[in-house]
Amino acid sequence: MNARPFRPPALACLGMLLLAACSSQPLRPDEAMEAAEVAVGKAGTGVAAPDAQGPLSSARGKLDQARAALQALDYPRARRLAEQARADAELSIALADLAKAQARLQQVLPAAAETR
Amino acid sequence: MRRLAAILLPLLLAACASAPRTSPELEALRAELEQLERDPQLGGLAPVAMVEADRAIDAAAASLAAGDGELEQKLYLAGSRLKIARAQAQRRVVENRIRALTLVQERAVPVLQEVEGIAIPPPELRPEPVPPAAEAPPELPPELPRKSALPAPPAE
Repeated sequence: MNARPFRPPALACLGMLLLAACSSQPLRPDEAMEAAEVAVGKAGTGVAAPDAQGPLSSARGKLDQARAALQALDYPRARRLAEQARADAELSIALADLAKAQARLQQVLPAAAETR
Repeated sequence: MRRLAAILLPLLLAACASAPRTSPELEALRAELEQLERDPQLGGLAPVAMVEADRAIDAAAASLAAGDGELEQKLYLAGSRLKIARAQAQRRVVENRIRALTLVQERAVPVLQEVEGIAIPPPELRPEPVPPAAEAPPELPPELPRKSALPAPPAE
């Protein structure tokens, strides 16, 4: 009796290949997208300081591009753009806060000069 | 020849593996962070943001070492974190100045009100000075006008 050589069924091979392909598929960058949305929204509600406008418009533009990349299923690009949008938005917030503090100082300075 | 190749190849590989990987942008960011931390005015004023900037620079260095193609992205994020840390430290400097000025103002206002609110009587209308008692410290009667610490006005 001739023993048949072991041949894994074609379906099993295909399944394994499919699993391997899935494991290398980049995940949807939902967390990065959400963080970017929150940061850009927060930056947009701040006082419009001139220094903060550049990073804010950059953040908005990148968030729009990230949404488009997400729709096109280009997840790596969407993640990169979302991370940059978040960083730009947080920089915009920091610059707006600095501008607000400087404006408050300008209000306090004359009164402080009078008391001297 | 084969022996030579067998000796040289591992040596070459080892040299490549241990070669320090760096990039000018990464070094510039590190130098900027160190300068910010040592800045006598700004250093230590935004510790959390500076730690985040430090971590972002480390992440860029890890990407460079791994060669994962994320270096440019990590450098961008590290640069942003550094700018955020600087802006936060500058804001703290301004806020500290506001606090100091407000404190000086709050202390000065009651003194000014006291000085401006007291009518200084002419010398002839001033009450007789009360001689100090030898025993117990005298208590001022409530009817007496409050004595001013200001010097007497010049006689006309």
